[in-house]
Amino acid sequence: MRIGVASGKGGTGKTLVSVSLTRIIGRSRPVQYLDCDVEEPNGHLFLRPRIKRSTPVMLATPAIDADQCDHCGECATFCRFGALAAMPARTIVFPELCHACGGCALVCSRGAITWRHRQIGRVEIGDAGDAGFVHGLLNVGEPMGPPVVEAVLKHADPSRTVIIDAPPGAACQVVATLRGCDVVALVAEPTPFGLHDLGIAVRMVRMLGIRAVVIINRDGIGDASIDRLCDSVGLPVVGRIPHDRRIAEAYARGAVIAEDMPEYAECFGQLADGLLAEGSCANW
Amino acid sequence: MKVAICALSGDIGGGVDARFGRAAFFAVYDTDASSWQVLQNRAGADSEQGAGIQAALLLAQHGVTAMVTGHCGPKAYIALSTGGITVSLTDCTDVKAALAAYLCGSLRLLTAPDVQSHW
Repeated sequence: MRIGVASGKGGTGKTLVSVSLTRIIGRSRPVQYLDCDVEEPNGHLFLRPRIKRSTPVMLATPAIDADQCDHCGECATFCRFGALAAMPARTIVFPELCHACGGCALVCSRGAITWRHRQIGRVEIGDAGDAGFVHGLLNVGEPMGPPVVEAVLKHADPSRTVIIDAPPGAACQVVATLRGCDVVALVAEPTPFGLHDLGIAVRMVRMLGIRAVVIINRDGIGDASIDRLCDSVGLPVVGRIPHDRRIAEAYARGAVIAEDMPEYAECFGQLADGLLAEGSCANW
Repeated sequence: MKVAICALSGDIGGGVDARFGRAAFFAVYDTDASSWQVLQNRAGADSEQGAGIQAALLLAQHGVTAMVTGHCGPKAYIALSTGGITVSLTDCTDVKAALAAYLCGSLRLLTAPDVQSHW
């Protein structure tokens, strides 16, 4: 089973929830933690894995064979990302705009497109106690996260319960992360900003056709607007993590809350049970 | 030769847009014919990314060889120089004054981008 943990708004507690779930679920069954927040992975700060190997993530971008190119502009017209420009006497490539779809090579009638491979990040694989651990790291300055996310997901172990820590937002990297999940936990905070971005995240998971549940973090601040949204769109709230300064303090020390604070073990236990039940629902 | 000035409106009596890629219009002056032409920069202004590249392409297609703007980022600069278009910076606020300043040679000619992407 694959459980995604996403949020919309950043800083609502995805990693707090993910690492706690990894430890709680890991007590009763084999688990694996995948950190797909490739611009800023931080699960390792809490799970403290032993990294065993690292593999590069390469991205192919087009290069123009100047002897073959007649600057017809077909490639540039095809490219919706504007990564190629056919100037009158020379066609140029802007690798940082390229999504590596390969379309330019398909439409070029002169075979003038060749490929240049460059490393955009890496995947590190190891284990954190009994849990499998994989995270992706996108090189600083590289804009294209999805290839690194996909490289992380290739390591998903079907024999384990896989907890996937998603990037914030609702853009390409998040979509790439959540595809193939059996259930997604959307971690939300009860503030106007949290409500707004949860709404965007809900629309995203609905478009992807993935079953979603909500976890309210910092419960007790703000108002009941998250509950009202969940009621109105039929999203179950499977857990509430109270607003408690001691949680923030423990988290800042790198503690896994479900292990470090016994008073919250039951809270996370119920949350894990709720998620596992939702994730195994065949008919929905 | 043709000189393009980044313009806020389609009126050659209007203001200079300090941006290149997302300038709404280019006021193009043909020094041989002593005539103006206005180009709407739809491809650049409407693009999600790489606005300067699309704008450079538009100018190249219209035979422009000099461009006057407030600032020019790295991708636009590469595209413009590949297309044989020089970049001059102005702080003039109106199009006609910017052209006059260019023609009398008082503007700084760029040899590298002067700002980062998405400034």
